[in-house]
Amino acid sequence: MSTATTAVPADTRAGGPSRILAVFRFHFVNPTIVAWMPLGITGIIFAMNWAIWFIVHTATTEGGEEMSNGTSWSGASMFIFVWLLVLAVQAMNRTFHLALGLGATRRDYYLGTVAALLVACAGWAIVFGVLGLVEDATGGWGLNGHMFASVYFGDDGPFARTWYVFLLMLFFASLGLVAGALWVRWRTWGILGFGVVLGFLLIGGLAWIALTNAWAQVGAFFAGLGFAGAYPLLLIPVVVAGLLGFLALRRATARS
Amino acid sequence: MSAVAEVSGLTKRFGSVTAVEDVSFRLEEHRVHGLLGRNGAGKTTLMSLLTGQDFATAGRIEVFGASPVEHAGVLQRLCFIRESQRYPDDFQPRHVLRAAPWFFPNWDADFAQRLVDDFRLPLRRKIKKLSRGQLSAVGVIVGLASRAPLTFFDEPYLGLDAAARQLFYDRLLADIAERPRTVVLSTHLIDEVSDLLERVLVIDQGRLLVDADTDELRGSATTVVGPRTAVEAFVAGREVLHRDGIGGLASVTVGRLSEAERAEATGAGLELTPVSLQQLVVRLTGATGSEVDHR
Repeated sequence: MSTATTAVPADTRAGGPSRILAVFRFHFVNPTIVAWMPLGITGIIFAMNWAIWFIVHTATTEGGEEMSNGTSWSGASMFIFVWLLVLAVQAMNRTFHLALGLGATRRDYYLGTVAALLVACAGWAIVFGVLGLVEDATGGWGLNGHMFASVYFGDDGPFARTWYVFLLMLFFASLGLVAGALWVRWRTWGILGFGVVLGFLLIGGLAWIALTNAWAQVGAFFAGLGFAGAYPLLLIPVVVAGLLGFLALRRATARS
Repeated sequence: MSAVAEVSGLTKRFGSVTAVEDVSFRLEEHRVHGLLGRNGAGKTTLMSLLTGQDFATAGRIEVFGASPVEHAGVLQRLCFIRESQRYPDDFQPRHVLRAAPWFFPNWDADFAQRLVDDFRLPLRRKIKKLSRGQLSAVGVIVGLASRAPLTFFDEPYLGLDAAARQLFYDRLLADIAERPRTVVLSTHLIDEVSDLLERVLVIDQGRLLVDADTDELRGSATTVVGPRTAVEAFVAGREVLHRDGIGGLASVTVGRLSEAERAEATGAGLELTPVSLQQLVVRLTGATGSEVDHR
């Protein structure tokens, strides 16, 4: 055939690691949104919390014990989890079109994006873990305050805590990933459909538990698992979301 | 000439709209192709299909011997920054230029830097704050510096001032002379690029009207000017592409004329003028019933 002289080698269909790495680096080419901004916001939230602890500490005569119990239910660190969800949604919507323009395949783009999110979650989990260690070591930042070592992440030690945080971050990021892929493929309808299906599944699950009077068993199940057993269960929705996201993106186009 | 891309029977429908209809052509290696047509003719859709960014409804596309869809080996030899390219909101041109080399094996960073200086592109400004011309410059710089064996320029002149248009023209010519590659240039500003084009593809309402060498196309039509009666007598029975006239004077564009026919016309006191590529395309694609007599 006439094209034979210029044909690409037959074994180049899959891009291989270098193309996936290109997409991975592409996500971090502007670190403002990925790193600097959330670090700054986390810092500000921490400063505000610390100021409040300081006010409470000086205004009350309650002992450190009370203070420690109260702040251990702090939701101040939730910001980072929501940020990762938004980051994942945006990662798709921001970069998909340009990545196709630069010649990435959808497959390499998706794998590179997943890798970037994994690294973002791991990085943030390590930041979280280290700050939790500092929190423990400084007696709650000198004021018995809690932000990174809160009650939601158990008391199995700093490594376990970092692992749980990582899993929870993955969960939020994978939700964002699938939502982003659905948005890129089907726009508003994709997100609406996803929300409706998810809503029905949740309600169905709750109804099933309530109608079979199984609340006690559900409670006992999770109590039996403990933090170490329950957190890894998040990997199930993470994997499902990862597969769904790929199916959605596989046929997405760059039409703007 | 070997072909770097071969398209046959290509059709793309969006719902009930047919954007590209049964199109077949080849892109010849190391030549500059003009993809010409009016806004909405299907130019961008055709390029999206050729670069695997969109999926064909029917037909076959082969680029470098394989379907471009999800084929990394093919796609890393292509560059297609569309005219309405969406960039990440937080990106500045420097981010695009930093990432591009990771995707294009032949990327020339020095060349990119020279082009940035030439086009006076601000590197540290949000892309969405750039003027239309500066936005076009981003696409032009990526296209040129990518040195992709098959490069698509989608309306590269949009918003560029005269100096920048000349610059693009000069840089493209100089660079492909040194490092031959295949170029597809889509535009509706035809006169600006007509000297650059070696082959012309004209698309209108999704159909391919012309697929020819530029030189061949240029001679394919002539305008005959003179007294109305003499002109009408000469063009009688010929394919008429366009008619114009004031009072007793007529100007009629007809198809290719042989040497004998040209002599006959000049003998009858008629003036023959070549038709520019732009006029030809306008006449082919701007057809409204009153202006053109179809065969």
